[in-house]
Order: sequence, then C-alpha cells, then structure tokens
Amino acid sequence: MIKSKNTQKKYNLPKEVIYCKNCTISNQRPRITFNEFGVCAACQFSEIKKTEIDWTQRANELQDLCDKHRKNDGSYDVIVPSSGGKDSSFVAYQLKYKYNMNPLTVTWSPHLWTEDGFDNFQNHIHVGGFDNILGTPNGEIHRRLTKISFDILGDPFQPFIYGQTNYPMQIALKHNIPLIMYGENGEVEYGGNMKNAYKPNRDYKTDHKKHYFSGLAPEDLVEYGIKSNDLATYMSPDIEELEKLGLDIHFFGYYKHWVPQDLYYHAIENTGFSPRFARNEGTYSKYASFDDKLDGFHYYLAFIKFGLGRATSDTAHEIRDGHIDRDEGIALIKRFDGEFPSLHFDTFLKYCDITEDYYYDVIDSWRSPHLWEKKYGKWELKYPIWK
Amino acid sequence: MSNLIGIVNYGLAGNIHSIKKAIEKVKGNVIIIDSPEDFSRVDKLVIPGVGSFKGAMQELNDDKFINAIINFDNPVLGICLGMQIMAKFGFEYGKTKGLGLIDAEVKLIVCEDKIPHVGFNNINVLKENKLLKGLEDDEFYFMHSYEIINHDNVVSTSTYSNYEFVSSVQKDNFFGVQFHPEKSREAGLNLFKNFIEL
Amino acid sequence: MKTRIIAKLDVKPPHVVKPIHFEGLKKIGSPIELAKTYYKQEADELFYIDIVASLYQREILFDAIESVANQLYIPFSAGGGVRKIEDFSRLIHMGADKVVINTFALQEDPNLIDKAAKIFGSQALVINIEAKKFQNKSICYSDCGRISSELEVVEWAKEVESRGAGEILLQSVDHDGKQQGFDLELANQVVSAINIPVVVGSGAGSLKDIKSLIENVRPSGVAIASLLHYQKISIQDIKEYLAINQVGGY
Repeated sequence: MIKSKNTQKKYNLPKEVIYCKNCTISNQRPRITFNEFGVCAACQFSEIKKTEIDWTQRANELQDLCDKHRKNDGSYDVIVPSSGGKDSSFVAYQLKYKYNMNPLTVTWSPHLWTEDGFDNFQNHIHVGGFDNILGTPNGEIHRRLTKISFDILGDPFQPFIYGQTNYPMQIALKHNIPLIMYGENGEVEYGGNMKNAYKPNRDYKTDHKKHYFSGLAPEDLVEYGIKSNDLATYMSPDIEELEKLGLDIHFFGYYKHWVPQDLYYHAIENTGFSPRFARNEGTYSKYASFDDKLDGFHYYLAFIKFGLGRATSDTAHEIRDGHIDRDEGIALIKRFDGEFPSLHFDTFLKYCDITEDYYYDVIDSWRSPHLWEKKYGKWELKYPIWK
Repeated sequence: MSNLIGIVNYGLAGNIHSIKKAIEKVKGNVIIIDSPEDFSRVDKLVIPGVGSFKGAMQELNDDKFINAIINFDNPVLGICLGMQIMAKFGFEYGKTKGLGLIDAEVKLIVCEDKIPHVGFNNINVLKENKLLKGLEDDEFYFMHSYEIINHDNVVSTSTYSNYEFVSSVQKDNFFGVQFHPEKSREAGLNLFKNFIEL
Repeated sequence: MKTRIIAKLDVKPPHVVKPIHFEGLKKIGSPIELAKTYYKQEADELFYIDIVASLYQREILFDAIESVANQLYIPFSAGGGVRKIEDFSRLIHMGADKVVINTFALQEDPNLIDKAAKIFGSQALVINIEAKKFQNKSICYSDCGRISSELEVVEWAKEVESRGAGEILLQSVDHDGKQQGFDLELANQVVSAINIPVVVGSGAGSLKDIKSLIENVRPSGVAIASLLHYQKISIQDIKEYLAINQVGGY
C-alpha cells in the first residue's frame, strides 16, 4: 500500500465541489476562481474575449512585434514550439505566411509517438512547409525520468513538460532567436492563474516551478539518482544568458481570438493535419493532443486528482466557444469522462517497468476522500456533474 | 361545393403528413380518416402507401376499412402501396388477399438492375386520363420493389432497366399511381390539383 | 435511371454544420433555409442527419425534422439517433420517406433493421455507413465517426441487406469534408457486393469528382454537402454538367 498523497492539501482544493454555472469545470481545478455568480474565471475571460478585446488592436500589436524581430535575411526570427498539432501548426503558418516571419518549429519529442501523431508531425513540415528541429532526449534517461515522475506525481508526463518548456529556450539561445511564440496561455484560457490575462508574454524567470512543473523541477531529480549532467537536456538555460539574448516568450492567443475548433479546420486545410483514427480515450473529440501514447495517462491522473477528466476539459472550452451547450457537455462527461486509457496501458507498464498492481496503487494514493468513495468495491466520484 | 378529401390513416404505415401538406399546398381541403364512419363526410379518398402489402391489408382489416373503401362511390386515389392493394393478390411475405378492385397481382420486380426502383422517372401515358392531364412529359418519384401486373386498367407505364411496368391504373372511380405525387415537385402538386378538380 | 443528386444536411440542431472527417461543428446555416434552397435547385432528394443524437445519447428532436420536412415536395430521408420502432413511425408520420440509421443498429441491436423492414417496408430503411480505413481494412464507425466497430464495411453492407435494409448511404470518414474526391475503390466494393441501391457521399469537391464517381461506380445516388454548402456550385450546375457529358442518365 502506498501512502496517500493528500491531494486536497497539496493542491489546496476546496472541500465542497462546486461546478461553474456556465461550463463544466469545477472549483477543484487548481488555481481556478469563481465570481459571485458562480461563473469561473475561464468563462469570464471567454466573455471578455468575445466582447471587450479589440482584436484589430491586438493584431496590430503582433504586427509591431513581428516588425521588430523580422530578419529578412534567411535566418530564423521566431521559434514556434511545435508538436505538429493543430495549435502549433496554426501559429507557425500565420507567422510565416501572414506576418512574413521565418519561423523555426521546435519539437520536443513525445515519449512514445503514436502513428497519427507522427503523421501529423511529418505533414506539418512537408505540407505546411516549415523548417523543424526535433529534439529527442536520451531514451534511457527519459524512461527513468518517466518512471520517477510517475512514482512521485502519479503523472508520467513530467519529463515531456520539462522539455516542452525548456528545450525551445535552449534552441533560442543556440540560434540567437529571442522571440518564442507559443499557442495559447493555458492558465489564462482554461481557468488557472489569471495574472497574465492581459499580457502577451510570460515571465520565464519565475512561473515555471509552480505552474508548469507541479513543484518538481528538473534539478530536483538528482535526489532520485539521476546525474545532474544527464539532466542538462531538461533544464532551462542560464537565466543571465537568456536575459542577454533578450528572450521574450509570447502567446499567440493574446493576439488572436483563440478557438480550438477553428484551428482544427485551419490545420486540415493548410498543414496536412488529420484527426485521430477514433475519439480520444476519456472524451468524445478526436482533434487534440494525441501524439504521445502516454497522453491518456496524464489526463487520467487529472481525473483522479481533481475529478476532471478529458471530456470535462473538452466540453468546457467547447461550451465557451459556443459549439455545444452545458447540458450536452454534461451528457458527454457522463458518457466518457474518466474512461481508462487502456489502449496503451501495456506499453506504458513495459516502458516504466512496473506492474499493473503498482500502477493502481500509485493512482489510488492520489484519490482524495473528499472526491472519491468506494461503492461495491468500485471507486466512484461523490459529486460528478451529472448527478 | 364541398370538395373534402379524406386520407385513410391505417396505423403504422402511412406517410399521411406529406400528402396532406401537398394537397393543402394546391388549396385542397383535407381531413385524416381514422375510422370507416368518417367516409360519409368526404367527397374523395386518398389511400397512402409506405409499408408492406401484408401489413397494409392487416391494418385495413383490423380498422374495418376494407368494405368502406370497396363501396366508396366517389374518386379514390391509391398511392404506391395504396395502389398496389387494389389488386386481387400480393406476393410480399407470402400470398395476401388485396382489395380486389382491379384484376391484378402484385409481385417483386425482376430486372437487371438493383431494386427497389428509386428515383425520378418518366411516364408513358397510354390513354387519356383526367388525373394525368397535362403531366404526360413530367417526371415523378418512384420508390418500390414490387409492381402491379395488370392489363385492362393501365393508364401509364414506365421503364426501369429496360423493363416496362405499370405506373398508373384506373377502373371506374378508382385511380392508382405507383409513384409518389407528394414527392414529385411541381408535377406532383399538379396531379393533386387534377384530382381535386375531378 | 438518372443518378439521384442528393443534398445532405449534417445537423446539430438548430444548425446545419459541416464537420471534416466527422469532427468539428462549423455552422453553415438554418436547416429550413438550406432545405428550401436545395429544393429550389432541384435536388432529387434531401438527407437530414442529426449527427450528434447518438453521440450525446439524446432523444431525437422531432420538431426540428418536421419543420424541414414541411419545406419539401421531394423525397426526404431523416435520421440520427434512431433506436426504436417508435422513432421510425414518428419520422415517417411527419414526412420522412426513409429513415436513416447507423449507431444503434451497428453497435447495439441489428435486429431493429429486420423489425423495421417488416413493418415499414425495406424501401423506408436506409443504413448509414461511416467507413474508416484502419490497418488496411475499411471498418464501420458510429457516433459521428468516432467509435469503431468490429465490422468491416462490405461485411456489414451484406448483412444489412439480408436483414431487409432498402438502401445504403456510404460515407467515408477519411474523405468527408475534404472536397478532394470520393473513395471510389470502397464505393465499388460495396456496390458490387450487394443488390440494394447505394448512395455514395463524402468527398465531392468538383464537378469532375461527381462525374468520375458516376462513371466508375454507377451508384444509385450521390450525396453532396460541402460543395453545396459553400456555394461553389448548384445542383442545376451539376445536372447540366452531367447532361453535357452524357453521364448518369442526364
């Protein structure tokens, strides 16, 4: 038996589960806030995006930013961290063909590529037409880190997140490209810390450990027997060097009204994108986040920790974007949320060299009694949205 | 002068709504008939047709429509299955007795192409007929796997896959069309106009 | 017989939408307005499919369908979320000539096909097949092209025919919404395997695509969505083109 991780305390989760009146997210999402009408910050921001933001003005700001960085001499002037998915291909495409930049797409390899994901990655290069650098970390170290992060956080995805955050900065330094353009600011769009809602960029000096690394930074891993030399690939470059470079990390979502489904259509039409062969496990949609065989385990853990699975995240933004209504969202959550990602389970167990029992022991240690109860030997959410 | 048209509603199998809509579109007055007693209220009848021969005859029998139809003296328009049941016998799911209004049998179409015969097709009008007046060059919508085999009461034929079959009949006050006038655009609406004016 | 030119409405009530690869809910317009438009353009038939009823496990929205049926004096096939005999009878009573079914028959109980065929007649029964290539086979999908089944397309087509289906609507998850041509190979496989009519959809991007489909496959009908919805051409344009090229019986 693995000791309980005390999820509620660790993430400072409210004892009572309350759902947003507008979308399907609950107050269990870390860092989310609700207003006096019971509407979450993401929904409030979504309204602001629709009614108060001057997108023409924002586009002008992007034009200015690009004018400032454009090199026009064949060398790269912006880095687009890219998976080949709909979001990053959209950003790269807009920067290249609309704003006349010369983007370098930078890909941090998934742990275990899916076939559909790899095809999309290839297509965005060959059909979308972008230069690309693919960074694949030492596979043996990567496996060990995956296992360690699963042991500690219940989420095998941590090594991927390190690279996704830090690798583009390393490339920026090596190629002397100060500007990095991500897609949307997840904290702002999906209901986290709203402090950067009106900023186009993020502070690379302070935000990472808490917001992106769940309190476990790469350098902390020496405690678990990884040599610090082997962790170099995962680390942020030296802050002083980045300051000298003039590093500036921006979000395209600040400059353009971000609607994931629109990006799906754009990706199909422009960068050779295809959806997954079937719906993603744990949800109804098939257009987002399916390039890594470990994706499912990342989302599944969020479901265990917060009672919020993949269908919940999908329905929440689709409600805000006006594609579905709340009742439809609830029906989809009832049907799909928390579905176990069984397709790659064996692969995952082998990759981390763990047993099925061990997997479930770790997962269960993250179940907080304020969210979960056992009925007839099966774990059930106490307060699912559809009850 | 009252010219009320009654559409016979015989349970599960009638697509009454489309027919009612079409007749009303050309300014006809329509009611739905749920029981034989209502026959005395109307001046004309329409017998609709989506379903099986056997099923239709069963329903008509259960609802006690059969005699009322046979004894109706004013114009009756049978559409698709509604025409087919006017025959003596039908051979869908075994042998079933029809209304026996015309000397005919209903059998599965046997031809080179796939059945059902589905789509817009022409009619070849063999003798002058008030129902099809002015519509000889129009196309109508067909959807059927069975055909009525008849010699004496043929008004028009149609051809599918080099196979000629009967597409409309008339005997006395009983008219029948294999096609669906309620699905045949303007041509179909005009047919209903002709029927109203009979 | 002229090949039927059919307008297909993928509906998430109250909007007609146009997914690509059966994903995405881009709004196109009002079902009633589009139905009227395509009727005036001389469509031979209209298909109305509520593409989310099965996925959302929701009841059929009959009023929405009836309001479209009321615009039409051409054949109208309606479906999406059909699960029981009562659904068939309600749809037929409100003006649908044919009822379209996929998910329930494919994934839960194919016997519904037999029952419906006996009661309403085969010609009232259209099986919608959402075909997806997976590991070199063509597999039947459900729930708006999202959930796979164990059944291969040709196998299922033969099975539904023997159960009494009157027609098949053959769609391709891989081609749908891309406007880059139909899956001719698959269409041929299905058409040659069965005797009931096949309406082929998914992929019309140009007049040439439609001509090519008819010449190569000779389907009973062609179902068109994107090409019409984005107003690139009208149904009259299609019929004229086919007549000029003497294709499809025109």
